Amino acid sequence: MKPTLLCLLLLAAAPLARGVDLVSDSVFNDPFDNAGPVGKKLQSNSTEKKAADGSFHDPFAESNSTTAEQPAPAVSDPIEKVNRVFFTFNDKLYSWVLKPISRGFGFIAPTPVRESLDRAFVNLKYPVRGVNNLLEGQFTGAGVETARFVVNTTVGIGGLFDPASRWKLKPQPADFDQTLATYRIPSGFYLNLPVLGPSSARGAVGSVGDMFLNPTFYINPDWIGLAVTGANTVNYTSLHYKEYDTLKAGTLDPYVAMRSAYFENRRHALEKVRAKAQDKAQDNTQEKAQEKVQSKPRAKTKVVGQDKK
Amino acid sequence: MKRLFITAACMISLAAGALAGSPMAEIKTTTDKVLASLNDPKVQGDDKKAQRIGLVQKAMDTRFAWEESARACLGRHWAKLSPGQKTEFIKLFSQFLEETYAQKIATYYGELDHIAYQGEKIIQDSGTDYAQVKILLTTKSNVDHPVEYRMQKNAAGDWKVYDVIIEGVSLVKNYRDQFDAIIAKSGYDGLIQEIKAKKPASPDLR
Repeated sequence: MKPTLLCLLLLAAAPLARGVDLVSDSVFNDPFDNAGPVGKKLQSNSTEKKAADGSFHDPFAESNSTTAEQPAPAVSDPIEKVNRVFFTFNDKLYSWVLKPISRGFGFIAPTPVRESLDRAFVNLKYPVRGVNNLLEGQFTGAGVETARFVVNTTVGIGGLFDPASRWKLKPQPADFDQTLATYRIPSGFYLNLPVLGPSSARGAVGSVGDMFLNPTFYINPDWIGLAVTGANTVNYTSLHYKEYDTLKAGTLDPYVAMRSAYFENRRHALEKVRAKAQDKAQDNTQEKAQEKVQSKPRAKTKVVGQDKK
Repeated sequence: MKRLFITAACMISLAAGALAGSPMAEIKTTTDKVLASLNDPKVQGDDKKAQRIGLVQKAMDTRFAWEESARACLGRHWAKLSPGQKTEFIKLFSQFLEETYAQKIATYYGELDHIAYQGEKIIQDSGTDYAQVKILLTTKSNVDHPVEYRMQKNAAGDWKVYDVIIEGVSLVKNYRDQFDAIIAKSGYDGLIQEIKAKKPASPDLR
């Protein structure tokens, strides 16, 4: 009797022990993973083995309409060899030329000065954000950007300071690549451009569009415009070189890491634009129904316990 | 009627938030603890960086689900490994990730101005609880960085982080893409060699 009972107990405990001691066999499936460019590809790969791996499906992906509707295409990198050459080129250009110059400049100019300069350069590119907000149908965004430009150019002394942010006028980033994305134009293949860095077929077209909206493009003679762009780059790098260095230090294949991060980051920016558009649409229908509930949390996600310091 | 419903929902969610052990509360507690220990005057300065990294690593060990992270990063390759290989991979991967991540926090914590805890979302999938916690880091130069933690409730009932998403870039997905590329090129053994060969991440930040 007793040995049988013991056996039964052991048998009953076996799955428990397995769960605790042994490392699980199944592929880890993230229910929040809303199938990004590569995630989609990987998922389609893993579905063949779904049964064998025992991986579960993603309930969150279906409820997340912003991405489920328009799944981003898989990352394509047909000219990886060329891209990698330019990646190495940019890396050397950065470590041998740009970083030493920027660090030298950072040594001369204190951080607050460089931050102010950077804000002024950003402020100068207002037409890029203003026009693209309009093209995306983000009229509120365009309005906020215009207000920011006016306030920061005057009160903020040519954009050196950012009083607009203190007045709840937060930046509304927009560029031509993002505009094309909102028109449902796919990003196309990955491009690692010399000097300019990570981009895509669509991104390259977008950069050209943005160039025409950038005031420095119209500075005459050309060399002053180039000098301004150069100063902008050196100043920006002096504030941000840590980021590239930590990226390189924490990756096994910096090229793939950069490519993956580029597409993910663009997707994230586009999602934010779509969420804004959705919120606006919801607000409109609510107004029509005369059912404007005050202080509505940002829909979609259930916000629990707002805690702002 | 609708207003009543919303008020009730708010009260319930507030009560849930106040309960100890909500995923967002756990993130806040850990973050506050790490920041407090990092801001300790005893560990300031460039020469104390190793100590600061140690502090962050200790906190990460209590809050991270290393096995789940490792599984997620290997994706479809995971199932092909032997149990021994799996254990080895989890160990190597957690060391690597911990070092890289702790380096970043110990480097950048000084630039942090404040954190807004924006909200959490809990879902259940196949009998396991998953949570998404969104926070917004604001730096001293007034730049916002959205960060999202993805967590899983383990068998002991503790919420553990398996992925961190910064500006839309998922840590797990980024490593999965890298591991995929390396495995495609030089196989799993090649990946292990590369992880082992990667010196403790020490970026030149002077």
